[in-house]
Amino acid sequence: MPASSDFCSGAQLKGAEHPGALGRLLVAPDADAQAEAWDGFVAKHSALLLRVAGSMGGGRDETMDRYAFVLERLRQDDFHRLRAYCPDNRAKFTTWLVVVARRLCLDQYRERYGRASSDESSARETVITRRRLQDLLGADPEFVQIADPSIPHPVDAMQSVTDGTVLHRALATLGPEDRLLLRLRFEDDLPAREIASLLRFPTPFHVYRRVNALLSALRLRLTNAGVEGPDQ
Amino acid sequence: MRAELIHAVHLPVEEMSRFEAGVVDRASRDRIYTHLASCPECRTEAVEVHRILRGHNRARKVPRLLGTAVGLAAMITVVVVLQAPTHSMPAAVTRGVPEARAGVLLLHPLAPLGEISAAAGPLTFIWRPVSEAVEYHLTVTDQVGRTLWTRNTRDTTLLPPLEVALARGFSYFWFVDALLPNGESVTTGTREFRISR
Repeated sequence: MPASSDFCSGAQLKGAEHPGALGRLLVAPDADAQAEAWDGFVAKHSALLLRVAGSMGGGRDETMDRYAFVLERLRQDDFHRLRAYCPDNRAKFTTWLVVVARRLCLDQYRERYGRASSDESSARETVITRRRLQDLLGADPEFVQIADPSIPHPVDAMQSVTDGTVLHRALATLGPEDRLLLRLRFEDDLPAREIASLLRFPTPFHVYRRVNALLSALRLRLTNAGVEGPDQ
Repeated sequence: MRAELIHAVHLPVEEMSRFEAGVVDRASRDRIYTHLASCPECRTEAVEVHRILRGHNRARKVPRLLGTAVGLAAMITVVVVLQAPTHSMPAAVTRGVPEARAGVLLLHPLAPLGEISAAAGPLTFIWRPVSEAVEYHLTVTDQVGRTLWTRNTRDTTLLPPLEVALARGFSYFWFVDALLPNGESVTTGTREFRISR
């Protein structure tokens, strides 16, 4: 996940201007002006950058280490990363800056501790998601235990594979936003309130209603495909 | 194979920031949402970025609100001083106006609040009814915000099932959202309780 991106094209920049502190920094005519503009940039955005650094956990020392790392990398190569911001991005500069700063914090973590293997946690999350969905849909609970060596009989395992495939297909019929909604709710375990804010639903109740509608539709598809619930 | 391809490249900074800003264009919308649905790392990033910006914006609003409040207080003082001798404020201005429409959080939590004793009987969540509410949604979380139990109900009391084991000496949080017929909602706000040892 790179922390910087390509430079803006001329067409993208046409008619658009960098926001105040960034604009002054990028057009500073000499070293003194640049140093002054940099001080202004840091003063303007330090609260936000500290918040990003603090969001990664740890104590004050770790936060300050990350903050210093982010500033150093933003300043590196004549503000190479900051020059990548496109003013016509439509997202505010501060939003863009948070994404960049957070990725830099991850870079710093990986430099120190190495890249964590996500295979195991990803597989675990997938199982958790399917288990929660299965609980809600009332499908055969065995199908999420394919990887479990304690599965009693190969026939059950075969049925589990079939049911899992059916669920996978049913999920694939949903639109991207609905699939994201279910992931946020059942894999990431986000409260409806936060999902509503993130996906711009008017209220948390709109999230509940949408989730309930999706689960009903999925349940129907599974039933039509011959997947029986635990009480059937 | 397809999933591997989707995971091979994460969302660029620009697309992630557009998603957060809610300015994703129609052409890239499906691709971005599809990627987020299948990529836990990008999803985590989207959630974290959203939390950071929301926290930052709230923190910035507080001084502004304080300034506004001070200004309003000064104005109100002036108005009251000028008008007090002539007439008093009618007492029934808001009578009959649903509390939620008045823009106030008036779904009142009753229990549990603060320190509670396990010997006082089974833990019961209670709140005052909102006459117009058609449904309430209760959420109970632990100290790190992990949801322990949620339930929809039309009642105003709920007993958690036995499998929701709440330990003594720990703090927990709960809130109730009520859905009003007009699609709006009111909430108790997050309330804390702790079961004494």
